This record gives sequence, structure tokens and C-alpha cells, in this order.
Amino acid sequence: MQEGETMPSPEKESDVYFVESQQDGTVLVAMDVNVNEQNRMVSWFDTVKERMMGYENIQRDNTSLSFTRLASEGGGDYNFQPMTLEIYQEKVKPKLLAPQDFDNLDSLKQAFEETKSSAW
Amino acid sequence: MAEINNSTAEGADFVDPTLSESIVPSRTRIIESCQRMVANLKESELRQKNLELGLRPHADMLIDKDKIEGQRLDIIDARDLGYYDVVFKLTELQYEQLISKLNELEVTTSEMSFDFKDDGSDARCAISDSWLFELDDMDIRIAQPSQHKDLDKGKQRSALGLVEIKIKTTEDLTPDVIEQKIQTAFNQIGLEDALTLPDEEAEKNYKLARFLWHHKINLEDLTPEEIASIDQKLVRQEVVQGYSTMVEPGKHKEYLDQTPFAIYHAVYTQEAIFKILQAGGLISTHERFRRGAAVAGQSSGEDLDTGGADSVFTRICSSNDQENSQLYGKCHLIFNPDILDRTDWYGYQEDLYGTTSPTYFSGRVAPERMFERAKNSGLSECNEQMFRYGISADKIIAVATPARGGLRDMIVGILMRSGSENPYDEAAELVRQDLDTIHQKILECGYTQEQANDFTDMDTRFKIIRQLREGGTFEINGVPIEDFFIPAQRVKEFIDITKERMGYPEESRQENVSRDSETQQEPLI
Repeated sequence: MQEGETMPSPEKESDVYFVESQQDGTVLVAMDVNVNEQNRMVSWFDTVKERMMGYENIQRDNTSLSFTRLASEGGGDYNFQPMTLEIYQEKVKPKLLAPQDFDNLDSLKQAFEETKSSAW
Repeated sequence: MAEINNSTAEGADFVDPTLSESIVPSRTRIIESCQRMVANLKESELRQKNLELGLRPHADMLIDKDKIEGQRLDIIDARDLGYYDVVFKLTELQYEQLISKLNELEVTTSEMSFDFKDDGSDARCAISDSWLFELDDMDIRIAQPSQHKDLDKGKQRSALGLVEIKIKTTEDLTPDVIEQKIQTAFNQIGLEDALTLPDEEAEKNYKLARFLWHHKINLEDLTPEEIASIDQKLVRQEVVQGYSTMVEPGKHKEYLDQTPFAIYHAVYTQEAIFKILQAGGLISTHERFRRGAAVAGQSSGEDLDTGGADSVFTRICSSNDQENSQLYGKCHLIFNPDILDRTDWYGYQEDLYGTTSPTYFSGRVAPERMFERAKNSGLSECNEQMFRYGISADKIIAVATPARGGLRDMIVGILMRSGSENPYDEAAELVRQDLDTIHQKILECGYTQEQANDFTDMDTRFKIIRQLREGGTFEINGVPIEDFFIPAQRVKEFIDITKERMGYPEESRQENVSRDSETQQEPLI
């Protein structure tokens, strides 16, 4: 992945990510994930606002990403993995404001996509 | 604190007639203030636009000395649901006192929620538990944020101190009825003397408290002269329709003396930009939901937990940051730096989701320190500044749009097919032109207007401009829309746009000083 590009969305892979951090309870969902290698920053849209964090170490492949946040920002390990219906039901839905049920991944992703226009 | 009446649904008249008589002059002024509030509620220029967005009309009123946050309460016209909603937050001390009293009593509890329309149907989204007082014609809820069991949200900081009075009616409320209802509710929750206009002393004390909070300094750090000057420095201003706060006019120029900077906010869709403009500004999550905006169900709501939902988020970039740093893929609202004159914002050097948790809040960065750092070593791109309630649309000086190559490549292809000798340079020049020029060129190459629209809609900026023009909007904040929406995604460009629009920093002011000097030295004849 080139600097400044958003994470790729290979066929059948999600561009909506579940974000997990043992040290940070404010992360949950990510879209438009962007890695800026020059500035060693990761940014994403989290259904409400833009998040941006500096990283010390980063590992990624075509579908997932994990990084260690800069110690000067408080540190912490962050893991991004493609959203699935199972992850949504188990880990995401209980934390949403007024969650819906979905029977397929496309409609789930579409619902998250719509939060971009609600974030104003 | 007065005794709290725990009776429910009895609707007793809790107004002490003796108390009422003793505050007649004050009551007259309060009713006058209610009159202004009712007038604002009905006559807001934004009323219709807000209604179209699902935002209920609202207005605020100044009250109290030291028990109510910001010395203000909000009234929302929610008659579509059968009530007016009076909302305010208690100060931390007052809230703690009230909670300790309520915990001693067996007060009914109930859910506090955002009420909104979802596809025309009434819908609600719980935000916290609350203590409930039910009177004949109104419900009073005091947020009990840490107690909610169903939401898996822990302590919801945006609900801390929140009090909601639902006055049940579908009729127009008269100012004296509003005053009576609020007084009745206040008596119920130990705020008997809060329904007064802030007097000179209260205003002065509030300015001092606001100044100390904003600049993160202690009273003992100030000289008596400095303390005295605060009253003169700060003025109350309505910074967003229906929301006023203390402002120190010109303060941002001191920050500009440190270093040129830009202040901005990321937006991910053009629909969001249109909503912001239509709503009259960027409005905090909490405020939008409270006024009836449909809750995006898939939103995480984490900002309600951290307390960030009470504010809108911005970031600052300065000329000492990595100037070529790029902010990819989305639009950015660029604000007038004078929003920093407000005293209701706080900032962090990193992304902390605007938390107001004491653990982190004590580490917030005072504005002076923030700009010292910007001058000396630059700021982290992750910095964040939170502005209470919102930022008015008239403070948006430009919208930076992502400059993508797709349109340029498409134009190159069109020009090549039409036999252009220098398609690359010509295309690069064309995409910098206005919409009419580029459309004209596409039409000259044999394409239809519809195809021209499809081509230019590939570019976010042109797509927004076309939609605005079709809706009859040709300028925003006095700026032609072609200039208001600018292709830019580098920190340096954001700063240059701010410089150009605002005429700062040093060089412009120094030029002015020089010109003034020259003027003074000129002979009188």
C-alpha cells in the first residue's frame, strides 16, 4: 500500500473495520482508514468523527492492520480487522446507539457508510 | 439547599408566594427575558431550515449566578411530541449536592432519551438513567449517568449535570407561563433562587471563572490588576444561533503572533457539508440529538461517553508542522481563527476523543502553551480542540476539497480524442478553472451537458459547486462558491488559505504598522 492510500478493499473483503484496543475504550469501528508513513500517522472515520493517531510500530497486510500508538500519546495497541456479521453481533452492536440487525454484509456496510452523512 | 419534594404526579403549586413577592423586580426582568426567548424561538431565521433538517427550533436565556453551567438554559420547541423541552446543566458542585440529596430519597427513576422522528415515526434513543419528578403538566429528569444498565456505556459524561424539564403542551407558551413553569420545576430540585438574571457581580465572577478555566491558571497566579482587567476583556457573545458564551475579542491575534496557523475540521461527504451550512453551523452530537436530529443508529456514541459529544472537534496546523503533510481523501472546513477568542474551548496535543474525564482533562493544554509549542516545535497532526456546542457557519472561511487526479485524467482523454496538441497541460489548466469554462470545453469536444456533468461530478469540488448552483446558491459568507470550495489537502495550503482570507499574519500587520508610520510622517500639506 502506498503512502496516503486508504487500506485496500480486495474482493469479498470489508472496507469497514472493527477496531479493538485493550487500552482504549473509545475505538470500535473504522472506515476510510489511511496510513501516512511519512508522518507515521493512522487516521480513520469512526462513525462520528475523524480519529488520528501516531504510531511507533505498524503491521499490516491486505486486510488487517495493527499498530502500537506513540508512547507520547499514551501508547496502546490497536488492531483493525474486517467487519463481519459475527463480529458485529458479538462485539459492535451492543455498543451502538440504536443498532439494527442485518442479514448480509453489504447492508451492514451500507448502514455504516451512511453515518458519514450523519456526522455533521 | 431547599428541601426536595419527592411527591410525584401531585402537581402541587410549589411556588412560595412570599418568595415570589420578594423578587418582583427580578421577576419582571426574567419575564422580559422569557419574552425575548419566545420571540427568538418563533422568529429565528434558521427556524425553517432547521426544521427541514429535523432540528427543532430552540432559544436560550441567561439566568442564575453560579448553579447552572454557562448561566444559560435552552428551550426547545418539541410540540410535535407534545411538549416544550427546557434543558440545562448544573455546575459540578450543584450537581453533586443534588445527587447526594436524591440518593437519600426514594425518587422514581426513568430513562432519559433523545426523541426524534425516524421515517415519520416517533423514535427514541436512551442516553442515561435519570431521577424523575412527575408533576401534572411537566416531567423533570435529572441525569443519573452512571446507573444505566442496558447501554454498556459506563459513565456517560455528556449527561453529567443534565436536567430536562418537559412542559407538556401543544399550545404556544406565553413568557409568564414559561417563567412560572420553570420556577415550579426549580423549586422542586433546589434551585429556588436560580431563576434570576445574572447581576453584575455574578457576571464578573463568571468571567473570572471562565478565564481561569480556559487558560488553565489559578487565581493566585493573577495580580489584582489582572483580575480586575478580566471583567473588561471578556464579553458575552452569541457565537452560534441560540448559544452564547464569553469571548475575549482579538485574543487570536496573540496566537497569530506566535505562528501562522489554520484551524479545520474533517467532513466525509458533501451531504454533511450541505447539512452544516443549512443548520447554520457545525453542531455538537449531543445538541443535534437533543433537538431531534435523527440518531444515526450505527453511530458508536462513544463521544457521549467521553463527554466529547458536548463539543465540536477541530484540529490546528501551524507553519512549523510538516508543511507538506497531506490530509487525504476528505473535505475540510477551514475556520476563521477568531473562533479562538471564545473561552469555552479546550485542547489536547493528541486525539483523546475530547474526553472530559478528570484523569485526562487535567492534562489539557492551555491555549498559550499550545501556540508556544506550535511556534517552537510544531504540533502533532493528532491535536484536537473542542468547542462547546458548535461553531457558526459564518466562521467557515473556505472548504478544502481533495484534489484528485481522476477528473484531470478524464479531461486528458477527452482532449486527446478531440485532437489537442498538448492535452496534459491543457487539462491541468482546465481543472483549475471554474465549472462553466470546463463544461464549455467538454461541450466543444462533442459531449452533451449531461455527460459534462457526469465528468465534472467525478471531482468533489465541482460536484458540490454544481449542486449548490442548481439549488440557487452562488456565494457563501460573501465568497463566490467557486472560491469558497478550494482544492487543497496540504497543511501549507490550509495556512495559505487562512492567510489569504484573513490577511494575517506578521507581514500584513507589520505592513499596516509601516503604513501607519508612513502616514504619520507624511507632511500635513
